[in-house]
Amino acid sequence: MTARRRYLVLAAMTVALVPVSCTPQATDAPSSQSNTPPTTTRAIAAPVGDPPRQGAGTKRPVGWDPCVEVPDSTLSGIGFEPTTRKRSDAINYDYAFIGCQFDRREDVRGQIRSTGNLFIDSANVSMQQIREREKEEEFTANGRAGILFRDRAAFSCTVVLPGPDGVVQIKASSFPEFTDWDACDHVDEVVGAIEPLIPK
Amino acid sequence: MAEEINYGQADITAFTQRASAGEFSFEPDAARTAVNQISDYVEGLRQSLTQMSRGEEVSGFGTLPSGIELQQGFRNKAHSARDAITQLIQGAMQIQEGFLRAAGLIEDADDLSARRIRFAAQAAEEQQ
Repeated sequence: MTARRRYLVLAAMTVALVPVSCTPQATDAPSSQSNTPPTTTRAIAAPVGDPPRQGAGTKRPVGWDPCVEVPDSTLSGIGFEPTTRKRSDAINYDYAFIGCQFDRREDVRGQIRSTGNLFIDSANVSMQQIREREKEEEFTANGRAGILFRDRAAFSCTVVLPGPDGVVQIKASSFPEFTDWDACDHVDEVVGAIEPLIPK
Repeated sequence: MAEEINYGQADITAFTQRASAGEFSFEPDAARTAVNQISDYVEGLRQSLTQMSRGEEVSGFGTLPSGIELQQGFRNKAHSARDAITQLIQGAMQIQEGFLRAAGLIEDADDLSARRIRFAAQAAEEQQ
């Protein structure tokens, strides 16, 4: 990870009001940065820790972290519970999916249960690599062209859009044992809300 | 068609039929407690299914030429595991229905039964 990238990670943590202890990465940045007040309203009620170190064969590490960049307000607006935010990174030797998971919560026979979930990943793989192995449909979110594929057994729809690291993958699933809410029926709304947060 | 696993389907069906016939009964509160505990189990299975689905989507992008073939091989194995989990969920929902019927909670039992049948139909469609 370059010094500039380390700085970006620290800046993103500060903006997101992440109250985690300093990591070795963070201590490399100028000390004055640690006291910088937040400058945006990207509020996160349940902040998560840093993403793990990426693989030794990585040429260009993933830098855009959905766990930091997607605020609670966006999640609430599309029906997911912000306090369920948790890391879901998949690190490989030469590529990584830096990701975040959220649950949808509903009252089911008097009990609050997870009735669906949402994964948002930024990955340093190409749209072409995804196209080569998925049975995809074309999909456009706010003018950004991407692809959609379904996993019917998992009751999920996944949209992949071009992103700052290669692709951003957004996967929404529903739990049909508990809810009539169908993730695939809401994929336009879910992806439409997240797309503006993804750098061009 | 997916391979069927033996998870006690015959016993579950017998339990549900006897419950429907009124051969035994439960207090509503006890039945609801049992149903909620089974729902915890179902929720865990469903979370596992979505984690497996995502795991397949974020794996196998390495630079080795055989990467895609390897990924496809693991994906087929993962699908077998997922079919088994789907059958477990259906069995669990059938047990829940039995508890609700045995407690006279007919409306809840009918609702759950309709949901299970819809879910089973969709799962069968996926496996074809």
